[in-house]
Amino acid sequence: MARTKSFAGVYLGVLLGIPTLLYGQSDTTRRRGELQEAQVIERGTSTTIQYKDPGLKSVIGQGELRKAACCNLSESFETNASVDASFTDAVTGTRQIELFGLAGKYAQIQTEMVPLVRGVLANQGLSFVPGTWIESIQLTKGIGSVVNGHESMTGQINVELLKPEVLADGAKGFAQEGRGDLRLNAYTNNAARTEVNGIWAKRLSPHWSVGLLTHGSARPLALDMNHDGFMDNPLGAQGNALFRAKWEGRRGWEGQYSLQGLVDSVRGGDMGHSTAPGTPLWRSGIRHSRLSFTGKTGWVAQRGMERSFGSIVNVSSTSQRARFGMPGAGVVWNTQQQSALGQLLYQLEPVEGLSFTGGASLAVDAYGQGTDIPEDGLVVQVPGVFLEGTWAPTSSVTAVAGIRYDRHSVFGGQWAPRLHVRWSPADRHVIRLAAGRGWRMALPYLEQLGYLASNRTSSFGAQPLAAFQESAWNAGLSYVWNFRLNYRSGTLAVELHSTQFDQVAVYDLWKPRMRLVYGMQAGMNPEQGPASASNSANITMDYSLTKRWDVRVAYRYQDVWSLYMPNSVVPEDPPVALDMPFVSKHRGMVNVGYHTRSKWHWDATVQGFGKKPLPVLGLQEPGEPVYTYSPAFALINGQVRKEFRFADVYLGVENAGNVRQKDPVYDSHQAATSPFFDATVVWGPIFGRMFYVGTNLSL
Amino acid sequence: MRLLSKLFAFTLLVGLSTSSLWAQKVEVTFWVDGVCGMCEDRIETALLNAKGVWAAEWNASNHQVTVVYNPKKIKELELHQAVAAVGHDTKKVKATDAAYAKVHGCCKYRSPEVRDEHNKPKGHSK
Repeated sequence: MARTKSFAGVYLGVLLGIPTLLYGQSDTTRRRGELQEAQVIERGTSTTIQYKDPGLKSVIGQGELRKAACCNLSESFETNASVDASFTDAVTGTRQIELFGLAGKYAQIQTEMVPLVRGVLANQGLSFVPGTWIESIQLTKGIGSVVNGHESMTGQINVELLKPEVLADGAKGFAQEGRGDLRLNAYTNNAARTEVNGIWAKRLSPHWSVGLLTHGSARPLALDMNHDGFMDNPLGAQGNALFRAKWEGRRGWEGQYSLQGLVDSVRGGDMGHSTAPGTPLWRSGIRHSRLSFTGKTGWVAQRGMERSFGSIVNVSSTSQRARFGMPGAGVVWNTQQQSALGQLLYQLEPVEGLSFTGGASLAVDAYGQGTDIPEDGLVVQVPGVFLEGTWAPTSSVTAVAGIRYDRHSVFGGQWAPRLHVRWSPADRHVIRLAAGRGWRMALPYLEQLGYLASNRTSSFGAQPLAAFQESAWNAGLSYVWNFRLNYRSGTLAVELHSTQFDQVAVYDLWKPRMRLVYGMQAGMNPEQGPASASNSANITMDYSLTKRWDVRVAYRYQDVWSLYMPNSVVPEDPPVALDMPFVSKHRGMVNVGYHTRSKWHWDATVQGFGKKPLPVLGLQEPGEPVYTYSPAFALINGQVRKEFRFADVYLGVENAGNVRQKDPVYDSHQAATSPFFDATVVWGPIFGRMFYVGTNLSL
Repeated sequence: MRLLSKLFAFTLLVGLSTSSLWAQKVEVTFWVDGVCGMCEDRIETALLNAKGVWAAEWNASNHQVTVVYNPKKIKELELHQAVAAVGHDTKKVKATDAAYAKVHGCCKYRSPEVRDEHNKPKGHSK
């Protein structure tokens, strides 16, 4: 029985519903009908702010992802004005992303609504999602929904991978009319980094379709362009495969089941060129292996009241072997993590314009087992319940209020209240307000592996900080205007975001020759209030200048600081507030795209970074300032891509200006003995200008 | 690097000054048959690929397309022809059977079944 609905009702149904809960808000919207299987790909799939979403959500589509040179999720944000990516250190090649100048761990990073970057994967999880597998990325700035968990503080990043049913039924892929269910991607650059991805999908029956996503990559060549004796990029190899099956049952039932396995190895450090033969070499090595299963089953009522039900089950086993330093003398951290996550969701729309989503979740994480880190033997159980109400009295107002309660086996009961309000005072104008609390368990040792890339002496305070609770309040106000100028459309977005930490785990590099990890609480310095804070203002303009030219201009100001223990010996001194190291106060970006009728795509991005505060290296006299600044710098990337009927070919340059940090590894030639050896103070590119070439084939 | 950015600015300037940014523009709205987002994509792409067309937007609910174009470069009838060439009927030009045959199965707007399917309230979130 089809029933007529008001606009608000339709909008809610589209916005919420189990497909959104289980699979996120996909770039590809698709429906099944008895007549035919078909899909609709939204036009202009670059980056679009979701006009109707109560949260400040943008979807980064295939068009935008193609502009990123390479190769995995950690490198997919190069044309994004909101997310910064930076190296954690100069030896492991680990890239982390930042939102509002705060580390990516404070955003909830998920693949298809299942947490990805946490625990053992906190450092390198992003590099385990090959870019070619990604269908779209949903980026929500500001506090996320309670439905997705308690860990989101600064935002939420959800990655949707390619769907077998969409691929098999002939989605528009790399080429406009590509109908293949087999795709290949190959990439290589002038540092011999080589990647091969294969994507296969097949529809077995009207109810079942299966897909296989595979990835193999290697970085076989050690290069030292800056002559510091250390590799600029680590050597590495990765094998990664994901098999998935999609079930489209009768009477509104559907399910998706995925099994992923991967092995990854990264080796960096001293190349041995400049040391005497026989000297032990400072090396780093990180190996991961992981097996993960995710099952989702959902049901949408076919008649009567709008109701839907969904379940998510994820189990995974991950092992990490990390080694830093000289053979036999360095740090060896071997860790295992076994995780299980279960979630049940129920959604109901009793009257038009009002809907509720409720549910329960249970997360279990077990760390260690026979290893030598403070997290050894840590087992954490977090059962939780949540309820979210969405009220859309008219098409121009939506309010979402949610609350969740989780009982953490170490920290006890925790509340996470959240509120989102969207108001459209006029057509094409949207004002959004979001506020709420998020919390997470920090695993200070596991989460900052790159921190070990120095000869700084470790001190972890009186008691080892194995697991520490971090919590923060986030508030955001934004205004988005979808304007028309000269008959062409554009978007202007102005955003204000603030994140204030009640409790935070601090990684302190300010003290000469020491690396400290400790917790800070709000109020420890009465003059400062929170333990750490980020306040930012962001302005972005997208405009399609002509039908061939697209321009994006963005600027962000961010003030990020944290409390640190005073740099003195007097224990009574209160903590001091210092700027967050490695974070620019000013960030700018210009992206220009040009495409022709014959499907040539030209793209150039200039990113500007203001100076970044850095810890002083080397010998310091008492009374000297503890920090210095990096220079301000700009990075230029460019790409040209030609689409053919069943393929595309791309050629690009990264860091065209050849900007490099001259000395990313301090005192590298005495890594074995010098107390000043340090590869943790990285502010810019280590490798210079880089060219790459790649192709996507749809067979 | 300074040279690169100058080169970049120069290219941009040349590109803009020779572009049709400043050309004369006329707006016209007419009816084009179709059903869905995929049709929208096809119709708008066909129009935008025509020389002299500045902007094109098709609305699936009322089947009206609004085209902004330079009358010195393209005639209104040619807009209708461009749409018909990719398989969509207008009041002035009917698509040939050959062109219509190339339209994807879900977009066969001449079939009443396809129309009904698209008129259901649930489904298409486009």
